Parts: sequence; structure tokens; C-alpha cells
Amino acid sequence: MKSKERMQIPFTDMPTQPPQVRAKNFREVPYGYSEEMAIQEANRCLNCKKPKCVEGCPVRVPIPEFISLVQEGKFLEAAWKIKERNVLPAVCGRVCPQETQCEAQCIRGKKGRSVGIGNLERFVADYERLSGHIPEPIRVSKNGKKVAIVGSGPSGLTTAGDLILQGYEVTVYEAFHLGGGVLVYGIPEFRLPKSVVQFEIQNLENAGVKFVYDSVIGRIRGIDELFTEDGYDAVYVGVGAGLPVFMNIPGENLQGVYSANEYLTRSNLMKAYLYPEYNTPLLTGKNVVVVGGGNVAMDSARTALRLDADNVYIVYRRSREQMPARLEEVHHAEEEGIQFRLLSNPVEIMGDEKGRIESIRCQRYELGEPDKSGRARPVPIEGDYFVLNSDLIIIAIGNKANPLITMTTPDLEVNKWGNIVTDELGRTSKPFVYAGGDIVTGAATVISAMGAGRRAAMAIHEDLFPTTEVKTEGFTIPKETLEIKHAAIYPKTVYLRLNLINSSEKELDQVKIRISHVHDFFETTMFETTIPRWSPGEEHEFDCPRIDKNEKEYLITINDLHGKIMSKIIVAEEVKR
Amino acid sequence: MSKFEILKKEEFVPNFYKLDIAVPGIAKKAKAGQFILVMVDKQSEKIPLTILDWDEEKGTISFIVQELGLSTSKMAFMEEGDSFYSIVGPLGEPAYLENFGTVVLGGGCYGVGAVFPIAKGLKALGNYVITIIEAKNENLLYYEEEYKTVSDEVILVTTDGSKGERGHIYDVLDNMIEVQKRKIDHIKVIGCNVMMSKVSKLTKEKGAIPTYATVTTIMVDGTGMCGSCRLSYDGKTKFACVDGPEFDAHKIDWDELIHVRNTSYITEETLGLQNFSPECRSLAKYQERTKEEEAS
Repeated sequence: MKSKERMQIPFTDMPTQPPQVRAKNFREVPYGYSEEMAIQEANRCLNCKKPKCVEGCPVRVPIPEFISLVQEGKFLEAAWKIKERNVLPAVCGRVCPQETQCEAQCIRGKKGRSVGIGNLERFVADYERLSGHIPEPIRVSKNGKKVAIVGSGPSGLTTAGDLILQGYEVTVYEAFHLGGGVLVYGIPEFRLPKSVVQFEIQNLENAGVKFVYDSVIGRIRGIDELFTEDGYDAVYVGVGAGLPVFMNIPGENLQGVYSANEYLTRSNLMKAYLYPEYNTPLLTGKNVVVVGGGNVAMDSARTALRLDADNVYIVYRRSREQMPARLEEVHHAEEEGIQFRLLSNPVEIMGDEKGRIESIRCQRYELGEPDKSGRARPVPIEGDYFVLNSDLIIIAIGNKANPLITMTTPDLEVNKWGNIVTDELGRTSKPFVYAGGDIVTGAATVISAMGAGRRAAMAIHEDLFPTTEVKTEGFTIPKETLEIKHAAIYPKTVYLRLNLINSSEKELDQVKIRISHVHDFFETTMFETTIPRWSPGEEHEFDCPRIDKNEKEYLITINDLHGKIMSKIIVAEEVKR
Repeated sequence: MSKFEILKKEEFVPNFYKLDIAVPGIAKKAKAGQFILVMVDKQSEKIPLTILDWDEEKGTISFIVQELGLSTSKMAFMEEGDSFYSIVGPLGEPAYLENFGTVVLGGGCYGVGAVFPIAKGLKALGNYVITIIEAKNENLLYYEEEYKTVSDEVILVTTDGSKGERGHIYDVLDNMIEVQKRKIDHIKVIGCNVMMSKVSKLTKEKGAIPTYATVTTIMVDGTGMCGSCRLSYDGKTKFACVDGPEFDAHKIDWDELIHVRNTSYITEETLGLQNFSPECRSLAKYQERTKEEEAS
């Protein structure tokens, strides 16, 4: 198919439950693509030589490659292609803010709709799950190191998935009785079916990850004890940002005021939406006010609607364009009849003599001068108030860092907001303790937490199998430099991670990497690969099995497309530390 | 021994059960004043219960359950050998213990048992420990003998005067302060919020004797994540699960805690208890609604 033909294909919308119907049930809103729809949408992809979309993805899913496989109808292979980089595709296809990430970079988005990357990711992940053709987990021989992961949310699951494949013994500790973190307590069933999360966790268990539920690290075990008593070699902290922020306005402790965390946890994790079959009660309201403009606010509002509310209002301080929620969620909420009261902020909650809320008073705002972030600052309008009658109020204005771990681990450095301070790969101030996700960044997205989990897995691997001494030879070539991020000789493999620093912003074609070992001037090639396109800033990992453990020196040769040797690196086994 | 198995169950007074559970991890770490969150089965809510005692060697913990609502009624039906679905702990900050001098401990209802580890701890620190335990009548008093081993004085008080003194903990305290003129350095109370608020009011008026109360709140996760257990304390919002559960009683907004926060689910709780039979549960609201939907 020619690019011109591809350009003609219109965007394929994902069919959804009609708004009036879905507003009264908890079943998933979109039905997903059919095979034909998926192929049609995949055919819109131009398979760019320099795929911008990949750059927009925090975990660098090989997007054009998997979409090409969809074009050919190879759906299982497409799913496996994604899984090379992303352990939770069925989740990400549903909850990633694609419009600000991969799809935002898509060249087709410049004129019209970008390729529905999220929809396609969801389709192939679901296809794989429902097909039953799940590949046997790759059994990796154990490398003898143990890692504890605190929190089974998206970042912890990603770290676990990466480390288990590298031969670590991995144990995930979870405070709740079910795994998944925010994926099970926060995101409602109609947006992310819990069976999908359960399936992903089951896959990790099959691969050898151990899950220990009902365990609050910081209470039943301190971080130090994980090292001294349980013998872990590294600990990853991915506990999320769960400490709800309240507004500190009068009436906030009245009956009928929930934090979004509580409202959603009761409904999702404790299944209060199935009350009384499940015993956890949840107050319901006819007139529900949700304060906030993020995904959590949308989830709360839409849950309230499904629990028989007549009117659900979103009260948000800024304008619609400034709402941090995912576009699709705002759109779905609107379709279902959620009413938006934008540029408004609550100032007081009023209740009756029994302590039940009756109404909420809000002040109107207008947009003023841009603030530091460049967004127009909302400014209260003097004396302009309105009152909403309300019997349920849900506060969804964000979360602070939960202090449980940092309080009980005094040598873990935190910033003034209580977030753990780390380097770019998640290393904390405490040796062999790593952190990532919302506990480091403050409330963010599922995929950014997964990116952090992946980087921490790299750091853990680098630190537990420390760098060997690296001698380089003829390394820099004009304008383009390949930087060694990490080179190491492990008991069973040789590992190399290279980054392209390219001042001319030019990509390299057909870079050939060869790892060989040298013995008595004879060079034996152990591994050879070609990177078809190497974009600036992009990192590539290589690892190859060692033939002979007595070999102490390896030669890495990098050739450009003309066969010219760009550099030669000698890696020698001599542990620095 | 399966996970969270009941090794021993004892109903020592009507509707009050002492359960010994196998949870080695918690037994190893528990401290006086901490609590656990319990789910009976997959459908249950999570409810907080104070840890009564623990045995690190055997790997067991004990707690007292007063049969009152749905979850505690379910527990009353459980037998030795049955297992809980989920137990999380030890949660909360441990009670504030040091050598205060003369300490008065007050326990009512479930608190009669809950005060025990605190008494033990305070006694070990060299305090002169006076324990007051309160019940409606003599049939509901328990743990008297156990308290004698960890207290210098044990005072019993019943509402109807059937055993010990007549009245409530605060009547006994009032008498100790006003009539006997005893010097008290520190007071700790555990029990229903109403009793604790009255003790707090009394000791505030009588020269602000340091008084600590272990509050009873509604909880979901017990790790500071939901804010269900929030209370107004010294003008600020505090979470009982991570900042408490023991607080300086004089700084707690008791009215809000008793009349607003803790009565949120009275209707649902009553309904839940009424539904506690298989026939009623099959009539659950949700199932009806699903059927209607599918029919339409």
C-alpha cells in the first residue's frame, strides 16, 4: 500500500456502549476494535523511517513494528512485540494519555487524526489474552540475587517484570489483599476491568515473581530489615502517592465528604458498588459534587453517576483546556451527562444539625495573567458566589507522598513535599534502595510510573553486577558519538548499553555492533547485530552469552553502514568497586 | 497451619470473643497500642481491631471481638480451624509509654482487653499502674485476674453496681481526684468514644492531667491513603491510622468524632446486619438491578 492510499483512510472510532446505557452499569465503556477495524486503523500508519511516536513513549514501545504486524494480521506477534518493552499492554492501551505522548508525536496528527496507537495496543493485548496463546514464560537461570519490590502498582509490576527476566529472585510486597495498586483501588471497572489486571499479575506469577499480600512495609518490616533479615540485595520502593489532599475549608469533615481515594477504594477495591453482596458501605447521593479536573475526578464523577445520582457536577478551578484529565475521559464524562462547573472553587461546605452535608458554596474564578508554568492563572472574582445543593462531595484535588516508608527509614532523603529524592535511574540516597512512580514525582500517570520502574530495574542490574573496567579505543567520530552508558561482564553474559549523542541531530543508519572475544590474537565473534535506524538520544542494549568464563577481555566493534569501523571498545573483567 | 487461621476461640463473657490467630509476621513486630485490619471473607469490609496480646515464639496474636455489627457477627460464627481472608498489621503508632509515675488506665467494652498490653508495658517501665475496668454488669466483666498480674491496683466498675463500684470510669476517676486527692501523673483510656470524651472533659477540668485516648474510627486501608479515619485535632486534620490511634485526649474534637464522623454508615450498618443471612443476601439490591438491566 502506498503512503497516499494510507493517507486516505479515515480514523476508526472504537465502538462504545451508548452513553445512556453505560451511565447505569459498571461494564467497560469501549467494546474494542474488531480484527477488520484494527487492520484498517493499522493501515493508516505510514511506518515512518524516523518514528516520532516511539520518542513520545516513556517505555519506548516499538510502535511502528507492532503496527506493521497488525497490518499483516499477525496480532499475536504484535502483542509479543509490545511485550518486549511493556509488560502491561492491556492496561496501557486503556489508561495511557496517548494524546500527550505517542499520538501527540504522530506525523498524521499534524493534519487530522493521529494513528490510534492506544486503541491498537489495547486490541492486540486483548487478542492475545482471549486467544489463550500465551507464550510460556521464558525461564531464565537465576543470577543469585534477591530483590524486594514494595508496592504492586504499575511501577512495581514493571520493575518485577524486567528483573525476573534477568534472573533475579523477585518478591513484591503489597499492603492490600489484591495486587495492582492504583489499577485496582483507583481506576474503576468501567475503565479498566479488574480481570485484565488480574491476568497481567498472573502472567508475572507464572514467570516466577512472588507476591506477598497484606504486608505494609514500614510496619511489618522496615526497609533495613528487608536487607538484614530477609537477605534482599536491593529494594525498590514504588508505593505511590497515596495521602489525600483536602481543601481545608469549613465543613470538610461532615458526613458525606469523601476523599476521592476513599470513595474509589471503597467502590473499586472493596467492591462497594456491589453492596450489600460485598459488605463495604458507600454513601450515595442524588446531587454529587466532585472537586478537581484530573482523571481521578472523572472516575469519581462517573462512578457516582453509575450509583444512581441524578446530577453530578465537576467543580474545577481552571478552564476546560487546562484540565489535566485524559481527553477521552472528559469526553466520555460529558457524553454521560456529567455537568461541568469550570472556573469555580469551593469555599465552604454546609451541613444540617445531624452533621450531614446539604450544600456547597463555590466562588467563581476568571483567567488572569499566565503563571510560571505558562498557564493562565485562575483569579477569584470578588463577591461572586453560587451554591450547589449536594448530598455527596468527593474531593479529587490530588495526593501527597505517603510518609509511612520515609518516616520509618530516616536515612532516605526526601524533598520538602515528602517525595523521595532519586537520580535519573531511581537511585535513592540509601545504597541499594531505589524508588520510582508517584512517590518520587508526585501524582502522575500509569505509564510514567512504568517508565520509572524500568529505569530502576536497569539501575539495580548495573549496581548489583557492577561495572567492569572499560578501556576504549578510537571512540569518538566527528559529530556523532556513541556513549557507553554501561558495559559489564556478568557471570554468564556480556552486557552493553549505548546512547547516541549526536550534535548534528542526524540519525545513524545500519549501525553494526559486534561482540567478540580475543584469544592469542584470534578474534571469535560471539554476537552480531545491526540497528537499522539509530536516533539521537536513543539507547540500545545488547547482551550476549559468554562462551568461556575464563575469558577476561572482550572486543566490541561498531561499524557504520559503509563497514567503516566507528569504534572499538575493550571490556575487561576487573571489578571497579 | 493455614494463613490467618484461628487457633483458639473463647467466648469468655456473652458476645465477647478472644481469638488467637496465626500471623507470625505481626507477632514479631506488634507493640502495645497498635491495631490490625481484618477482613473475614472476600466480601467483607475491613475493620480495625486493637491487638490484645502476641507471642513471638508461637507466632500468634490475640484480639478481642465484641459481636456488634456484620463483620463481628461473622467472626462470632467462625470456629477454630477457620481462617480469615485478610489480616494486615501491625498498624498505627505504638502507645506512648515511659515511666510517668502513677498511671491510671481505663478500659471499657472492647477496651477492657485492649488496655492489657499497655498495662503490661507501663508496669515493665516501673510505673505504679492502677487499672479501672468497666462493664454494664458483672456478667460482662472480664480479664480481672489477668490485670492483677500487671497492675498495682485493679478497680472494677459496673453501670448497675452488680460488681465493684457503681457508675462509670469517670466517676471512679472523679472520686480519686476529688475525694481521695490522689496524685495521678498520666491517664490512658480505651473504649467507646463517648466514655473517652467524658474522661477527657473531666481531666481537663481537674487541672489538665495528661490524658491519652485511643480513638475508635472507621477505616478502609489503615495506611493513610483514604482519610476515612480523619478527626479534628488541635485545629488540624489528623488521620487515626497513621498519626494515632492514640492522641492527647484534650486536643480531640470529640463532638465531631462521635456525632459526625462515626455515625456515617448507621443505616448501611443496620441493613448489613439485617441482610446477614443467605436468603436476604440473594435479594441484594445490585443483583436485582443487573437482572432488570439484562431483561431490558
